[in-house]
Amino acid sequence: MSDIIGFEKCREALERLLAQVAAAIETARRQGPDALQATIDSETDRLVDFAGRAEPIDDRDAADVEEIRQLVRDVVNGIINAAENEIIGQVEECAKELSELAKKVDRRTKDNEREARNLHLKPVREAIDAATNMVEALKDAKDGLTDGDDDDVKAKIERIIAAIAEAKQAVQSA
Amino acid sequence: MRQRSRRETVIPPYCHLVILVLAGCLLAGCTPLPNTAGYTTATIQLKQAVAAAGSAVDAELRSEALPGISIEAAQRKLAGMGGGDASNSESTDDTSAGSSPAPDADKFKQSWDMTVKSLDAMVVYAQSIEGIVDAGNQGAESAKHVAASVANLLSAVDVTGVASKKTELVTDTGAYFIGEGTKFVAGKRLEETLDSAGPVIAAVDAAVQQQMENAERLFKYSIMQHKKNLRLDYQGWTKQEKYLDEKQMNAATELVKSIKVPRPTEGDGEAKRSDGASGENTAQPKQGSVCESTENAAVTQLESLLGQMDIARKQIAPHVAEYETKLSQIREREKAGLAVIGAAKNAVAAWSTAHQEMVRAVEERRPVSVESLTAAVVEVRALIERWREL
Repeated sequence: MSDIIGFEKCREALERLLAQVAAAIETARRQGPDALQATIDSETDRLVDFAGRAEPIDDRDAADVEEIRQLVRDVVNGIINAAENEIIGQVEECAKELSELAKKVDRRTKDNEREARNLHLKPVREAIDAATNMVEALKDAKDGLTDGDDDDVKAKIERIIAAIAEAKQAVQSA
Repeated sequence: MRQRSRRETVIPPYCHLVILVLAGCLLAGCTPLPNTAGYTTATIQLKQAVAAAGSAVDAELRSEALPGISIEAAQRKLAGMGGGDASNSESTDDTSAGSSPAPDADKFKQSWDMTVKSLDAMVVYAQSIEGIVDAGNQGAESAKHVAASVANLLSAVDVTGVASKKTELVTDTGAYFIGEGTKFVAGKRLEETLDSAGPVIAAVDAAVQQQMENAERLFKYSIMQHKKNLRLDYQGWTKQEKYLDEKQMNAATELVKSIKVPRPTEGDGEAKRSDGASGENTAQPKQGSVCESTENAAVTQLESLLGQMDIARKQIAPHVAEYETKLSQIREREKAGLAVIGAAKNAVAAWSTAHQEMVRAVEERRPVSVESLTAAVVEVRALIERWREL
C-alpha cells in the first residue's frame, strides 16, 4: 500500500523532497510567473502525494508520521500563500500606479470639459461678434436719420444696439 | 433717396457676418462629429466587469484562508523532529520566522477597490469626450438660435428695407456656417485631445490589463490551494478507495479465471464412462472431484473477499462522495470564476481597441464602432449572473 513506512523513512524522504521542491521553485521563479505557477502546482502535488504515501510502522510512530503529514500540509499552504501574497503586493503596486494615472486622466478631463464649454459658447460668441459689427453701421445709420418720420426707427435702432451690447456682455461673462 | 443710401450703409455688417462664417465653413469639414456615447456606456460597463472579476477573486481568497510555513522553516522543523521525542520537535509557533500567512484578502480588496475607483476617471474622461462632440454638433443649433434672435431684432426695425425673408436667409446661412465652423473646431480639438491623451490612456490600459492578469493568477492559486487541502483532508479515504479498487479488480480477475477453467461436468463423466468399454478411466471422476472442490473453495474464498470489499466500500463511500461533491463545487467555482475573469480580460482588451478606433473614427469623421467592446461587456454581465448563482 505504501513505500514510505516508518517515521525515519518518512523524514528522510521528506528532507530530500523539500530540497527538490525548493530547487524547482527557485528555477521556475527565474522563468516567469506562468512557469512558477505551473511548478508550484506540480511540486505541491508531489508533496500531497508524499503525505498520502507516508505510513507509520505501528501505533508507536503514528503520531510522528501524522506530524510529518501536518508539516507537509503547512508547507503546501506556505508555498501557495507566499505566491498569493506576492501577487497581492503586485496588485497593490499596480493600483497605486493606476491611481496616479487616474489623476492625469482627471486633468485631461477638466481640459476637455473646459473645451466643451468654450465650444458651446463659440457659435454664440461668433454670432454676437458679427452682430457687434452691425452696431457701428446701425449707429451710422441712426446718425444719418434726421426727419421726424425716422424717430421711431431711431428708437428701434437704439433698442437693437442695447440688446446686442447686453447679449455680448452676457456671453463674455459666461 | 437718403434712406436708400443709408440702407446701403447698413448692409455691409450682414456681409461681415456672412464673410466671417463663410471663412469658417471653408475650414470646416461640414460633417457631424462621430457619436462617442457608445464608448462612454461601454466604459461604465467595463468598470462593472473589472469590479466583478475582483469580487470573484476576493470571495475565493476568503473562502479558505489557511496559514502555512516556508520550505526553509519546514526543513528546520523536520531536522529538529525526533521519533517519539516531542521535546526535540520545533513547534509551529517557533517557526514564526518562516511563517507564511494566509493571503491578505483585505489588502487585495482595498487595492482592487482603488483599481475600480481609478476607472471612474476613465468614465468621466469618456463623458468629457462626448461633451466636446456634443458641443461641436450642437454648434449649428446654438448659432441658429443666436442668428434667429438677431434676425428678429433686425426685422422688427426693418432698417435695411430688405425683406424679412432675405434677412432670415442671410442670418440662417450665417448660422449654418458658424455652426459648421464650430464643428470643425470641435473636431480639431477632439483630435488634439485624443492624441495628447493617447499615452495616458495606453498606460491606464496596460495597468488594467496587468491587474486582470494578477487577478487571474491569484484566482488560480486560490483554487489550487483549495484542491490541495481537499485532497489532504480526504486522502485517507481516497487512498482506501484506490486500494479497494485494485484489490477488487485483482479478485474479480482471479474469479473470472477460475470460472473459465474447463471443469468436467457429470454428463461428460458419464459419456466417458460409457465410451470406455474397458473402464480404463476409472480414476478420472475422483481426480475431477478433488480439482472441482479446490476450485470451488477458491471461488468461494474470492466471492467472500469481494463481499468484504463491498462492505468496506460501503463504509468509505459517504466520505468519498463528500470529497467528490466538494471537489465538484470547487471545479464549478473555478470554471465560473475563470469565465468571468477571462471575459473581463477580453472586455479590457476590447476597450483598448475601442479607444484606438475612436481616435481613427474622429480623424476620419466616421461613426465610432464599439460593437466588440459592447459584446464583450454583455458576455461579462451574463457570466457574472452565473457566477453569483453559485
